[in-house]
This record gives sequence, structure tokens and C-alpha cells, in this order.
Amino acid sequence: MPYYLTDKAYHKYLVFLSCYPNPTTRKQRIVNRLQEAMRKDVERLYGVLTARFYMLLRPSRFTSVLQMIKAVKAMAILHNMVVLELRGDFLGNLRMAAAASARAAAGRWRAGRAA
Amino acid sequence: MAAFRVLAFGESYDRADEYVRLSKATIEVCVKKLLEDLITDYEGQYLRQPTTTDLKTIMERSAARGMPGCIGSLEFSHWEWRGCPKALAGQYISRKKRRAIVLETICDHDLYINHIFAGAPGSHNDLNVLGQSPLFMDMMDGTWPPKDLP
Repeated sequence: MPYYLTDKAYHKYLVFLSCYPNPTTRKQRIVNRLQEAMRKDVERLYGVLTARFYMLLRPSRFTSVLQMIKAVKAMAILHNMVVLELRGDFLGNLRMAAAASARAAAGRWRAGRAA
Repeated sequence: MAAFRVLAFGESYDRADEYVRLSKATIEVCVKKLLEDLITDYEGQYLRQPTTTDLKTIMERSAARGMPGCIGSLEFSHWEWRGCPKALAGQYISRKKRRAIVLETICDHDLYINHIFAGAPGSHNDLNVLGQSPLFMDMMDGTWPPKDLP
């Protein structure tokens, strides 16, 4: 059964996985650790969105809800385009990360940036 | 271009008047057209419901991180609304005493947005918003998430 990660406020349904509020057993603590580790990465979505579209950070000047919904949707579409452009496949990402750390270790990264 | 600047930098509509003499009204029309065109042209491609293949890829990546079966993360946020009409002020006032609308999103590891639902009044809490979102209705009908996944 597939599920979504949430925080503690939601229904206790099979499709929502929140962490245990008071973990007592070792299993519960492990689940909590994994859940939080995964969730903290996706928590930054709104940080990324507002950095990309500053409009979202300021009170909007539209006068109808419909316009705001359209704006949010359009922003999501643009954001998805950027994500698809930037991400490789899963293994590609790993390879890129390895290459980047190798470059950083060799100290060539900064030199490349300066040139 | 000016319309993109409005979205990306939150510029006011009359900013471009200063140096390229594009009037406030022109840019307002441009922004509205840009939003509409983006949605009509690209919504089916970039904001569609994830297919079974998509979900399987996401689940593989989750499994690699120790959470097999996870297909994304549910999040809520508020967007403040300055142009809110006085008549709606009571409905849209959020718990921070500001007028706002609520955004509901589901994203995966790369922050790719799989589902977005906006427009619920700011006075609603996350559970109320979830209750009225089309995604949750699909869950209640049993049509989502798909049953043929492992």
C-alpha cells in the first residue's frame, strides 16, 4: 500500500504516515528516524518555491481567488520544468554527486569558478 | 519577459514603465495571459496525475532510503492576499491575523510537484483544506492511490 508522509495533525489513515508522537519501542524509534530523515528533505519545498518565485513571499495583489489559483498553478508548472531539467536519473544524480565531491577534493572547483 | 519578472522577483506592474515605457495595464494583461497560456499549454504535461510508472520510480527511490512504498510528502502553506476584498476578509483571515489562501502540495524527492491544490480560505486549518481537496475525495472513493502497486 503506497502512502504519503505527513506530520502529526492528520487522519490516522493508511495513506498517511506520520511519526509516532511518543516512541517507546526500538521499532518505533527507527520508523521515526527514517520518516523524519525523509521528510526534512521535502520540507524545503516552500523555501525553494519562494526563492524561485518571489511573488509567493509577498502578499499578492490579485483581486480574485481564481487569479491566485492560476498563478500558483503556473508557478508549479514552471518549477516542475526546472526540476525536470536539472535532475538526471537516480544513478545519474549519484554519479554527479561523486564527481562533484571528487572535484572539491582536488580543489579544482574553486579554480574553475574563478576562471 | 516583464511578466516573468513579476512572477520571479515580485515586481510591481508599473516597474517596467521606468525604463522601457511598458505601462502598468499592459504588464497586468501580460501576466494574466502568461498564466493562462502556461496552464492551457503545459498543465497536461507538467502537472498531471502521476502514472503508475512514475509512482514506481518514486517508490524505488524511497526504498533505497529505507521507506519502501512512500510516494511523496504532503505539505501546506499560506500565501498572503493583499488584494482581498473587505467582504471576504473575515473568511480569509488566517490564524496569524493576515488574509491568506492555503496551498496544498504533494512533492517527491526532487521537489517535483505531483499535486497542487490552492484557493481554500485562510481561516481553514490543514485538516479542513485536506477534506475539500480533490485528492482526498479520490482517496475516500478508493480510486487513489492505484491498487495495482505492490
